[in-house]
Amino acid sequence: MTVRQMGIRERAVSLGAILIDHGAPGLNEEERLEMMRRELTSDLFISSTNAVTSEGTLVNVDAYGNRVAAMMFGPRKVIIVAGFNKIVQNEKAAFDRLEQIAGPMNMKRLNRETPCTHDAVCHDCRTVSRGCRAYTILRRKPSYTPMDVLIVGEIMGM
Amino acid sequence: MSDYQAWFSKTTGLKVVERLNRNSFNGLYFETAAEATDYICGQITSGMHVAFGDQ
Ligand code: SF4
Repeated sequence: MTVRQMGIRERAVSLGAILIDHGAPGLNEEERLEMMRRELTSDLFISSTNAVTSEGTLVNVDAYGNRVAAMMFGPRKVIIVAGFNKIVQNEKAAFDRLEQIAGPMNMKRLNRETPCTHDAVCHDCRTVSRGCRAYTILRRKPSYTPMDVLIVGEIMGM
Repeated sequence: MSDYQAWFSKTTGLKVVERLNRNSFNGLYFETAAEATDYICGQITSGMHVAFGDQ
């Protein structure tokens, strides 16, 4: 189960919402980037997180920075969804998770030509396809961003 | 999920929620993704611009 598979998009449309979705099929690169810009000023931004620590902080890695930027400022409200598998002890363990699990699995999912998609091990690569670029830690809720963090007792995402 | 797995998830998850709330987030625990989906959709109103971080 991933955020995309939760069926939120379909229900949002039936509720009369307007979707801003850079993952929508059929978009060219420029249209996708424009969607990402518009997502920064949405009314509601919904995202997963790469890790949530037992200390109550959120740790993420992003390729373009659009996801982590929108988590911090811009949308009128943010909802973060974290499956039980995203819980780690502390920020060090969170970065280990990003490197050992989230990075290689996401690169494989996105079909990137990076060393980790061959051996499932992070090489801290210098490839143009590297997806691990913007790293963020949210130790407190950003001041002007109402933010729900939903912990779900199921395995969700990578 | 077995009873003891559900107990472990909930006990651990609620502790994380408590720490999130201490850090000014609005932490919430849901046993299932379906319950979390209902909560999220309850926040959505007609005409609202809804965006997603995940591809
Ligand atoms: S830094 Fe490079 S090798 Fe490591 S997980 Fe990210 S894309 Fe893969």
